[in-house]
Amino acid sequence: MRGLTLFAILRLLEPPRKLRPTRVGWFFVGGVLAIGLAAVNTGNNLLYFVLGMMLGTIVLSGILSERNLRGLWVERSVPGDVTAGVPATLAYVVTARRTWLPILALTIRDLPREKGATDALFVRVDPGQTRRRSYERIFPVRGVHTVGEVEAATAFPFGLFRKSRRLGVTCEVRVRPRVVDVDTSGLVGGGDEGESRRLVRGDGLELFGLRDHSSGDEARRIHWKATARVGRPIVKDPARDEPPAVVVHLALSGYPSAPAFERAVERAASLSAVLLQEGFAVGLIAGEVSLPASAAGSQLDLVLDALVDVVQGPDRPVSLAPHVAIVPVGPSSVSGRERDGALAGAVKEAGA
Amino acid sequence: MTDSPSTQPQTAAASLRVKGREIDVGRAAIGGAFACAIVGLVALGTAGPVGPAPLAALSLALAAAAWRLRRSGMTGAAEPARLRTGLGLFLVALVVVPVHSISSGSWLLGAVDLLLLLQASRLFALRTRGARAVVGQVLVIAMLMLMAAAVLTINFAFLGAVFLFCLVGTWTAMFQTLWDPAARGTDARVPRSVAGIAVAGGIALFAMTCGLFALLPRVQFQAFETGFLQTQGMSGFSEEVQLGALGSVQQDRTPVMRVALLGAPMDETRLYWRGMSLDRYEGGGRWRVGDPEETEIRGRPLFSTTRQAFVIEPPTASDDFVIQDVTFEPLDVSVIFGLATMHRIEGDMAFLSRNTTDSIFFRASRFGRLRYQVHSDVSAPDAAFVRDEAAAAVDPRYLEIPPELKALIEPVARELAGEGSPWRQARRIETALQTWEYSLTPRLGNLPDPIASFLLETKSGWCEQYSSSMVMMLRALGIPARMTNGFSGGEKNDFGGYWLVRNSDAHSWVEVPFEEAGWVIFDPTPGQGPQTSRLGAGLLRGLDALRMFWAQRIVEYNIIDQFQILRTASKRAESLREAVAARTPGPAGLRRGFGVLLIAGTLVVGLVFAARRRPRLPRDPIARTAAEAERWWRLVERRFRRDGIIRRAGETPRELAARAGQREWADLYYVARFGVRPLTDIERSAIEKLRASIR
Repeated sequence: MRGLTLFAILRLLEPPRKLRPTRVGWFFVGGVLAIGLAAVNTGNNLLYFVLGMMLGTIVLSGILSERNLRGLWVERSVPGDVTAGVPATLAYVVTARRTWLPILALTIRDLPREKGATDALFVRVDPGQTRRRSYERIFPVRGVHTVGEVEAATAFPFGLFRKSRRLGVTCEVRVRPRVVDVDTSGLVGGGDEGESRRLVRGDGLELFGLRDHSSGDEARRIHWKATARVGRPIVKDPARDEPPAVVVHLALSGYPSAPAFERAVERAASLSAVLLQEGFAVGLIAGEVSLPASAAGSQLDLVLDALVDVVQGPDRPVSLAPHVAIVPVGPSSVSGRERDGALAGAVKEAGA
Repeated sequence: MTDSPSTQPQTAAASLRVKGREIDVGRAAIGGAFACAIVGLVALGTAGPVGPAPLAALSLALAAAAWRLRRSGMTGAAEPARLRTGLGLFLVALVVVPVHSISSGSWLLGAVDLLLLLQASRLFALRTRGARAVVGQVLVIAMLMLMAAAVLTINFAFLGAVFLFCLVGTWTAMFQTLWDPAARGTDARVPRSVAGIAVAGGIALFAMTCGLFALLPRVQFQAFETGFLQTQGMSGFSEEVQLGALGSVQQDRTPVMRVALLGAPMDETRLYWRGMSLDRYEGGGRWRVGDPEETEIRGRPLFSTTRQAFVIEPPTASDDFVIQDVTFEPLDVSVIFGLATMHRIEGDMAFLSRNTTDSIFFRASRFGRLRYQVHSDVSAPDAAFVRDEAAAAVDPRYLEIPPELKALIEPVARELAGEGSPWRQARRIETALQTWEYSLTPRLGNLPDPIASFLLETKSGWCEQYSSSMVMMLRALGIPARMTNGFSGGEKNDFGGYWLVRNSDAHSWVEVPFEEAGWVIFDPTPGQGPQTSRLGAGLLRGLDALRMFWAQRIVEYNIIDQFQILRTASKRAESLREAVAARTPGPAGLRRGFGVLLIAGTLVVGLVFAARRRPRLPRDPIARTAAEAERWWRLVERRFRRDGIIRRAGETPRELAARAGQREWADLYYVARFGVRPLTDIERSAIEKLRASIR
């Protein structure tokens, strides 16, 4: 009986279809009762005809609505960049796996139903065709969310009853932490732009240095003046600008509460975004997660994606190259005591 | 909400195109609404009490609304206040409805007027922005009109109205549900197959309606009486009759009743449907019942509270009872008609009584057609026995004759009757009168009494004069006799197996009492014995049979009919049981036989059910392989989920399989799902191994 909770038992006992009268349907049911009473009271056989017609309508409604919900294949389309607290545009993709009749008047909604959520209406899905309908959903908390069942419902054919069935459309949604505004005064324009940059050997226009020619060096790199001076081939070693490297170090322990940890994660994400925007190469260290510093365009995505999985736990000692500055984010960062001066100093140090 | 256009699936085998023209949902819904309004109008048109004026008004409104819609199209604007609140409509209703209710004595007719006014208002609102809701309102009002017609009518055309409403109501409700006024493009249309479903659904609904009509149990509480039907007036069958009353009835071909003859066979030339007997002639052509005292006949309830059995005469040893299943039209007469001698009557009657001339009166449980059964002993008296029998000693009023009339007609009577037994004398008078002239417009005589004038001067007339004259002549000779009014003969409907009796079959004859034979019928009218004929052309027969079926099986359907259906079903089941027992003798064999039937039936149902649950695979081998691949890949995903590997958003099968360490499974899936060639043997066996491992 492992895993068989009360909820699971109740779920097993649920009928495969649910049927509820609509507002008009309640009036119709009332009408059936009234006509039934009139027919029984008077014995008027023609009223029995009308009663039979109304009861037959209920039966026919059940048959056609069941037919409408068969051959239904639903998938969910989720974007890769879902952020906590920000409306994400998801989509239901409905395919009518049948050969004859279209699926008509179908509504789909997530289960459990979110407050304020609206249903996705598919007026018509032709046989063998696929239709897509977007909808918004907010994931308030970062992390890996499993989005489970959906409810497919229809009021077809007569709008008297709403028949629904549950469909398992389970998939994972990776919700990233929010990027919020952080106070970055002192981080921007703190010194001469040239001093914060670092030259490293690479393909660039700057000169890193001169060295002896070795096999494979191109002739166009020969420094003729130096060669004439020294009397042996000397080549130029080009240099490239390397943005200053900063690693955001997110502490995983010592937080007074889970919300405090979440604020720290948010801060780490926000700092990464700001620093990248300012031209820094940003990396991330958070427990086992270690992203090398990079200023590539996709670095923010990598950082945010890495932050999806971080949870509180033991910290590891950090060892980095001397030119890399560490930006710590920890319990004190989110306790309200900002140390922007120390932060700016750390950034400046990275540029030295 | 955003939506993208429909996309074609990847495999050619799965792609399908919608063929044929499509139907605009909004137009279909509005068209259906008009059709519902027409059907509601037709249903009320079958109900006589509604009257032509309100129906004509709605017809005009319907035509005007349709013309305006066709000419100007949808306005897209909100419904004008004058239609919605309808001050004018309200004022009209305020005047018309109470007036009609009071004048007709029926609140239902006033309510019908209100329904018609509302319907007219809603039809004009179909052009406006809220047309979708208005379509629903029109449908609801049409249904209310149908319900009103159910109460007001017994016309078999109502069945046609129900059938039409099943069709158009299903259509309208379906398209109204599908209609989204904001939809554009393909969402505003549906393929023709949906229209086919609407029509098929309507036909299925009608079939279910008929089935449920038969099955719903008939119990009648009658907490409230209803009396909405108008009845036809009919003279000649009251306790006071003026000579000539029946003659006017004979001009009319309106059906009076339909009679199916069951039980013992009888001579169909002797169909005299006895109604009212009169014993006192007051002169001047006026007959009446001398002693109007009536005796209640106690009934015994049959099954329901309103159907009863009444014993008229004590049961006899004779089993030559002819059972007449009579369906009597709603007429303004309360006399039971049937073949003499009536012994037992069963029917939906609250009350039966019998007067001193053996006429039976009823009071029905409710208004409408009356259906009853009469058990009559029609065994003809042995002619040789009766010939010399003496007249019965009955009440002296059957011998009463005004003295002045006796003085005038006795010589004629003696001349025509001659000497002999009462029967012989009556027979001679009957035979003699049958040679005279029959006429519905005889010339007037000079004598003040019409009977004397007929016998002595004109010698021409219709049945009343002949029967009255014979009664007076017999009484003048000291033979008791009475005049009886009723119907004779009718038109035989072979198709329906019944006799259709009309007003024109009204007749008058003579009854003479004998000691042993009882009241014997004599019919002196020349050439006007029971006129039987076959009902005309096939279509007429069919139509009238439909009316009869409608009256008996639908309008008068009751719990006894339901028991009969159950009995018939039970008999058929018994026959089946006997047939099976004949093939498998012995109790064990019988059980075996039924066991085999039950198992075979269960297997068939199970196979059909199982076949329908599993979607059919395509025939094309490549498409079949692709469809099978989809199926077993779903099992693979389920297996991964069990192992805790849940497919991520946007994750392809290859990525998922790589995460699960089963990359080769994804390769097999792609080959099977998207391949354009048949699988090799190696691939097939690999797929079989994969499927075995995921089970």
